[in-house]
Amino acid sequence: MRYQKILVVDDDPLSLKTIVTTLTEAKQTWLTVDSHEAGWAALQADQEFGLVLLRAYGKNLSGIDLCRQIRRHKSTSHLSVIMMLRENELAAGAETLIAGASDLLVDPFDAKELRLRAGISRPQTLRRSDYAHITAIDAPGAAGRPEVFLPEFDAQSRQINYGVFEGRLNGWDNDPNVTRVALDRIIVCPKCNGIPTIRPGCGACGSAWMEPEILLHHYACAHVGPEADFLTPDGLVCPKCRLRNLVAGSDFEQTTGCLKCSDCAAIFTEPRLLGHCLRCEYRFPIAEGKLKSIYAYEVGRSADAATIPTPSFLRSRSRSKSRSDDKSRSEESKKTKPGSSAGADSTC
Amino acid sequence: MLTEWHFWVASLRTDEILMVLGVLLLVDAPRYAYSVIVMAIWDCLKFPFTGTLPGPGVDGYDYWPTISVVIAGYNEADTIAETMRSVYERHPDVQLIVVDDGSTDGMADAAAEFAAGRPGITVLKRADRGGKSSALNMGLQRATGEVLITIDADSKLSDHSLMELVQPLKDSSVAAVSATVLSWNPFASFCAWLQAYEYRQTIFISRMARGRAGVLGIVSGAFGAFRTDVLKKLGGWDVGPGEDGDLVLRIRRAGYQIGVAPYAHCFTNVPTRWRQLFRQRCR
Repeated sequence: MRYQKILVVDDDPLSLKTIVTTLTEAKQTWLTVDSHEAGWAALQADQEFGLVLLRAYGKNLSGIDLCRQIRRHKSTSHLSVIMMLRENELAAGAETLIAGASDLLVDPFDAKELRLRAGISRPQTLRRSDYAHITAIDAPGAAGRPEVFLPEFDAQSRQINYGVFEGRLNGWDNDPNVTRVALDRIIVCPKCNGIPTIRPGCGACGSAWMEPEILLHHYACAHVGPEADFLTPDGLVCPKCRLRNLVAGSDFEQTTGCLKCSDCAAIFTEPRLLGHCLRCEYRFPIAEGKLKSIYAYEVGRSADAATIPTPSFLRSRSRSKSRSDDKSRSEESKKTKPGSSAGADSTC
Repeated sequence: MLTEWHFWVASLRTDEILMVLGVLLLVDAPRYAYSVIVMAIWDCLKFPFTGTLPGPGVDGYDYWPTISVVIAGYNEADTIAETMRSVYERHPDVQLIVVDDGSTDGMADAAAEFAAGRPGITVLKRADRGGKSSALNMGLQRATGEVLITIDADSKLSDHSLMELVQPLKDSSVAAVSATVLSWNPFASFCAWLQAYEYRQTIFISRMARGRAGVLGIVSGAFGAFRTDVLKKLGGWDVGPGEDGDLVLRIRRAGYQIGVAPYAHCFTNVPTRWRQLFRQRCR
């Protein structure tokens, strides 16, 4: 979930730091204020807020009052309000809820708890972003450098994805600076690429409910037939030789035959493995499923490496030679050294 | 006692010995030779009028009903996959039913392993051994084809044997077809060689002769074809031993004929040791 804007009313630098880091990672827009008056003014000035993270008790801040105020006014009453309490203030939890808080967050909390309570979607699977590499495709401006893009299971789309557009992935496939590392090969829905659940079931209709047929074997005439054929108003009678009053064990034995689907009455001996797509609810035999290769994308540093200046000891040695020689050598080192300079970079 | 026998035989003149053994030597020993000669003469006489001599595929393979093949076996894990392969690779369109009659050597697992990924194969397993008749009846209960063919679990088919086997069923009065069982390993040992000769004589020649005379009384359980609806009406096999002959008598009594397809060959492994042979014949 993504809010348009989040208002953070907090005067505790420690929790503020956690909040700001988490919100930045999740690419949320936020505004921090340190008093309830400023908070109220911000809410009045801007209608785009969707969530308020509110410190219950601060130095010059009363979250409970602000919360009551938010609930009282029609323009703000729809907002989610998450009240932050310290551990020694837990007794006031009920009071904050009565005041209209949607949820409580107890200090000290971590990013994960904040995300869960606030319903903020987790940060993109981008671990870090390497703008030396993706400036051409992605919008520039953010800090950090990515090394590896790992695919993850996305619970909302029920797919494995990278959090980026397919088109960009295709661009990476052709990019010499990106190394594709095979991670796994999984079976996905042939229709929508969703992740299926897998279970044994009826090959005809896909039902998971099946029962073994009960057969009776009459020893005296070697007749084998379904139990229902033997059941008559007079008791158990062999349909072949008409012998009556059959006794289990001495006259007949019970065996199991094929499996019978409880839904469509199909008969089969071996249940088939079936996939049920979590995304589009399509049922398919596993053999029909699409085999999808999962790759991680490792961003190389060759583009980067070109910008690294020649090490000083190389430069001092080349000075003794002629100027043109120096030029060609430095170009050569740029071309041939990216791997080693990348290694040097990572150890720094 | 042996000395008395010796004295008695030694006291006889040659013509007296022939008098005693004449019946045996003239009638019983060469009866297969007689039938071969009679059939050969009959075919030669018929040839100018019909223009055909009997042989494999002489009438053409123009009849192909839906077929269910039932393989019932007990402790045949080593050979079941080969048998299934010999059927499935030649005719993947037939319904193949394997009944494991309570084996203790994992026969059903071997069959299921072969059946994995191959459609149309049914593997039925029973917890306890119930006899061949009831195992075949269990397969019959699942059979959906017009024609049910039984094969032993240690047998192999030749290329055209199934097609050859169903041709006599073109005639709607025929409800069962007898076929030929031959030895797969005739040169394994002297014992096996003698049995191969025996199979050829007693099964191939004699069934051909009896089939032509219309007095065939047996459809071997090792390889034979039946009409599924007739079998279901008659209730399938009765309790053995002798269930094969018994079923044929009941089919005849129901007003049907027994066909013969002498060129439908099925090969079975015969015992290679005298002791194994003795045990097999004692059963």
